[in-house]
Amino acid sequence: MSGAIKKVGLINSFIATVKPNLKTFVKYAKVELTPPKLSDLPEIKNEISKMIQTAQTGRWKNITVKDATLKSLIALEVYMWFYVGECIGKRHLIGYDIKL
Amino acid sequence: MPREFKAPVNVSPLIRFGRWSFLLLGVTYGATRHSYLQKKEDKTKETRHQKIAEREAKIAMEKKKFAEEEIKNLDIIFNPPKTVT
Repeated sequence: MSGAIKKVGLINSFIATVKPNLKTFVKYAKVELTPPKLSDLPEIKNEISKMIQTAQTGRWKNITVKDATLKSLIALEVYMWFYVGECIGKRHLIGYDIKL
Repeated sequence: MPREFKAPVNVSPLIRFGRWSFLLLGVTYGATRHSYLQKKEDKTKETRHQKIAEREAKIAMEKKKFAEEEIKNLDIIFNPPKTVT
């Protein structure tokens, strides 16, 4: 009996800690993780052309080390989303789940 | 109550676009690759299962033969043929 009561208490405390954290996550995700709207398209195009320009004109040689690290980390994060998508696509976490 | 941190930053639309496009790309890649690998395995499925069945049949036969021989040998040990004295 006491074990069951302990379990209920554990679950309640788990919910109590998770709920506010989930709320903060949703609050930030709503702003920072939203899919781009169609109205954002011109800005995206603009940024891509800017990137191509910095690559062509050699302006990338003048980027500070701090900036470069930051940008490469962002690029890595964006690239890692591919693997998140792959895991969703193959519907298995580790490797491919092939029925033999 | 959500905890108070810095106000959410407006992430550049290029980064958000990149995230979502890479996510969708990954989903399609994972799904197509999974189906490709599954089809590849399905092609050799029959022969593989046949081989496994053959192997198991062979092992069972050998086991049976071995057991029979063992019993025969034990029989010789416990009931030795009477020798003429």
